[in-house]
Amino acid sequence: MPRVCGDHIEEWVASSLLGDEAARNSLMAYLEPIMRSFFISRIGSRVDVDDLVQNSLIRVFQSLGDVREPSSLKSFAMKGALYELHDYYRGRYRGKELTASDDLPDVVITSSEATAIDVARALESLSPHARRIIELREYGFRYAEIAEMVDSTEAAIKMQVKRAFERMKDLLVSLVLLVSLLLLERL
Amino acid sequence: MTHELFDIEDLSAEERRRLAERLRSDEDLRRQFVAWNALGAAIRDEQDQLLGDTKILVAYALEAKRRSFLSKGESAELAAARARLDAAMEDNPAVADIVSRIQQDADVFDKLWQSSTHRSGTKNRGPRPPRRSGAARLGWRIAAVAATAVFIGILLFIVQRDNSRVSIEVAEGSIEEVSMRDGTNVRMVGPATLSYVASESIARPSSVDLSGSAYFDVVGSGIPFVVRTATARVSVLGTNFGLRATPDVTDVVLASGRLSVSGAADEAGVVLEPGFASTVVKGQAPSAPEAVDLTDALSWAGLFVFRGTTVAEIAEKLSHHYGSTISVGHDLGRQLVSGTFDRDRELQEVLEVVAASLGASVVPTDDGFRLTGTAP
Repeated sequence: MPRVCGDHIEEWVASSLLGDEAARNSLMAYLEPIMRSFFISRIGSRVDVDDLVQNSLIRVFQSLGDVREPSSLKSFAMKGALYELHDYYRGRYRGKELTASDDLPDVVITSSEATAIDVARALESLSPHARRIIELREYGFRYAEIAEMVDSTEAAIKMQVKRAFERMKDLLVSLVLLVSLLLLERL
Repeated sequence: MTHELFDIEDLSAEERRRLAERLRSDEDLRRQFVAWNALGAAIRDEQDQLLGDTKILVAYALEAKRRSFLSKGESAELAAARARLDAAMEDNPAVADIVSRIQQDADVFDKLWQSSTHRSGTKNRGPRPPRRSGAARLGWRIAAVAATAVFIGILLFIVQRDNSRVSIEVAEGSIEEVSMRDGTNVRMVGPATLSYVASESIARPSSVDLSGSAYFDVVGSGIPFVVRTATARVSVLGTNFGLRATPDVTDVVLASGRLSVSGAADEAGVVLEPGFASTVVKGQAPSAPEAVDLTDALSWAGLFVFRGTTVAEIAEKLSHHYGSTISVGHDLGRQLVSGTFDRDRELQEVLEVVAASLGASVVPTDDGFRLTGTAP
């Protein structure tokens, strides 16, 4: 079991760069709980935390050779964690839209085809606040996280989204139908 | 339009199945569903154009307070992307929110880093749970990755597969958490072994075998989940409970939900309510349920488990554990709070969560903290 006293960070970094496996393990034992606490505090769910911790640590260790000053380890660790966290958000809903409609291939529109939809026109019908919420949602934040960011409640945010969709519904459905027709013509 | 379409990821398997049925039979609903998803996909594509690579977005957010954290290469890439990101910030309030969020994330990381550095240099800090050992093994594995430049799957635990049977062993003095695809979480406190039959097609096994101690957080799915030990069989739906099993005795403590426990021979058992415990001695029926203090009864799990606990009682337990004074405003003392906290979290972090659930505030004092119902 490696020692985990933070007083030795710089020494571990220096030794790791020289290929010292024990130092590398000590460094890992030091970084892992920080990363774990960070991801648990940011996304709550423990389901995805293991993957995020591992990927962040891999990022840190892949860039260890670029750590010119051992004292700069923190910046590498922080950036690794932030990249992973925000890549996680941005990937959260990608592809997920198909999961509930696996049995409905005839109505699925892929991401690239969806670009044909005039987003600006649909979003123009919304208030700036509703638009902001939908944009944050599509970035990958959950409703509870958005509520915290815009100082509201999760229930209020969900209601806003529902109302926003009601407002855009007719326009969107007609656009989707149009895209479907264009796709048929292409075939 | 039904609200389920807006948060599909939060639906249970049964709710998803029902929704899929409705989507099959209701053409109007199906069109709305496709329209909603298509809008989402289109917005994400547009955001990709606007925000670009996450690395640059993070660099942009860090630059204001942490310019020295950026490498020369990152600074150069940021310079090339700055005009685009400045314009996005100007035009789109959500982009400003995202950048602000990254800055907050960085602040949180900073605090954790500082507290970790501080903690590692502090002695006699009071009771601590055993440290996790996964990092050491992961470290070894990453060294191997670096050496061979080949990425292979990395697991945090010692996992052995015999055909489809998975066995996870946690050494004495270590704590490991096992997460299943449906969100069920098992916190194993070593020495402990958990084994089950795994399949790609199911999100969670229907039963597991345990020897040693573990705290289960089982997501409700309508399908019973069974834990077998040498002396007992515990059957649950969605619930949180602690289980300590030796070859001769199994102790079960229920934090929330409902469960039934019987002897290994599966004879008639007892049903536990939250805050109750039962013991099963080898060859015997379970003992009658007995009320317990959850925080004390589950302390071995390295957790604080509060279920309908008064704020005054929580403050007392936290004060005792952290050796810090915590006072509570008159209006808060009798309010009830439920929550589970890792005992190695910082005291202020735990208090902030408790306060958030009450709409209260945490104010530092000379010798600790004060929970107050009014803004500081």
